[in-house]
Amino acid sequence: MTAWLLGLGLAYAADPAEEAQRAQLERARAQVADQVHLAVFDLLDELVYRLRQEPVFAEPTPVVLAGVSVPVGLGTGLQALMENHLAGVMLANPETNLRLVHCPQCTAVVVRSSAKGTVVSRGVDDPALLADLGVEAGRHALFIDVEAEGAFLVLRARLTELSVELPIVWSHTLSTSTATPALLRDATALKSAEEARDEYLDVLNGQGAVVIPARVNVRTYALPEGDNAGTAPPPFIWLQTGVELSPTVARRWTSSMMLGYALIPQAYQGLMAQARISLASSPARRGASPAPTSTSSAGSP
Amino acid sequence: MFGLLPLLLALPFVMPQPGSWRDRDDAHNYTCTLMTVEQAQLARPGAVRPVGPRGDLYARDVVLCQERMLPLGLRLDADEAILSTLDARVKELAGAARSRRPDLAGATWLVEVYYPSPAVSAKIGFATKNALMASGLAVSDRAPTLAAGDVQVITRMPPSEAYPTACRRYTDNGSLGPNDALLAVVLLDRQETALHAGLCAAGSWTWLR
Repeated sequence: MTAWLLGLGLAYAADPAEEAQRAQLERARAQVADQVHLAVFDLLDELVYRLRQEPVFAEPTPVVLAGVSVPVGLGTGLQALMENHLAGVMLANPETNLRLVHCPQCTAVVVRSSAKGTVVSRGVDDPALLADLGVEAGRHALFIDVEAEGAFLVLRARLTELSVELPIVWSHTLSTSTATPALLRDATALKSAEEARDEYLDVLNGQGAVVIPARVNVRTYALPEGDNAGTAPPPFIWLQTGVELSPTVARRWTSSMMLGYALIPQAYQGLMAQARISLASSPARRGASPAPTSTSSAGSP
Repeated sequence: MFGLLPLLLALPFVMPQPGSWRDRDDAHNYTCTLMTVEQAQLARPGAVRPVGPRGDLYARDVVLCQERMLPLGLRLDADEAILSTLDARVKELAGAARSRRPDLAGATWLVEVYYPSPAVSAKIGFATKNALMASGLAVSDRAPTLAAGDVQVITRMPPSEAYPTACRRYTDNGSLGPNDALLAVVLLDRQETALHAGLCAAGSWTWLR
């Protein structure tokens, strides 16, 4: 009897090999999620950037973040990261006119029983019930889905009006590939890939064609001696131009211009303003790096 | 001649096919496409040497390989087959629906997916709705419903009868209005990786593919 119970217990115990395999799979999933989350953040940033450039609504509109789903095979940790990042970026960019609102009734599973039958659904799928529960009318639901499709990571988004007919008013699809590095944009200053590349090149090339250096000069003139010792020179304006060669800076040439004013008799002081105009030696604009591709649709059924 | 030596030595490491330096599982995690030099220059600016003004000494093609976003083995093979080509599949379905029934261009389209895995099913539905929107159709998130008795009867029918019957019931119980069209994406056999699609409009069921 004891042996039978022991055998039964062993039969129901987890197979160590299977456990090890499962643990290895979980480790692999965590590793992939760790690698993928930057690309996901990049897609979310790009989505909010495009929503800011072309807002769906003319006025600030309440939106419920109704669903965020991650690639099949990755865990919910990535989902939480996505939700937090998206909420943070949207709050930092109110120009999207999407005002995130908290609506627990919208995302909860609700049961509605009537003479026609009993329907179990999420709140966002039953707007009539949401109205009965006192949820403010005119809200929209935002759904985000990210999926790994071969070498590409595809983000799909849609906005649904929470009315009886549940029309989808806007949808958007973005994709990026494993060969495209994430831009790691600042949430408060979102930029397109092209703008980021232009800024990068501007930094490399020295902030544009005109350089205005902050420069302080002190000139000391020798006191007149000899026959002219008693005659002080009058105030005069001077202009100095020239060409500089800067072999250590990536420029073909730099032209500088200085304008100054010197008053010797009283203060022996002068003022000077200087400007430099340069021509970069490297081409300022090359082909832009691959940016996320997208399709967008809007409709009002 | 000796200048080619580093290239020949490095070749086994950079070539994507399985061999002495790359096992079969590792090679499967790359998707590779054969293309011309001109196509490669568009796909990866600056990475491929352009054809010289007087041509090249030898004919060149480019194999562009990209690593999979998710390595194989993290999800079921059947799901992987569907998901890895999801975008192309749903665009094809949306195109087929629009071209087969141009008279429904003004209708409100609903989408239902019949796939064993709920997570994959949701992905297919999401992608199909976006593809229909991208093709200029009006789409709704509404889902048609059936009574419990209908479900009991229909789930015991073979697929060839079940879907037309469900379509009729959707129309009879008012779930699908006269201006509604339902695009159903169906996996008929768990052993296949092809997605089938059917269209329900005005109580009439049509297989699109």
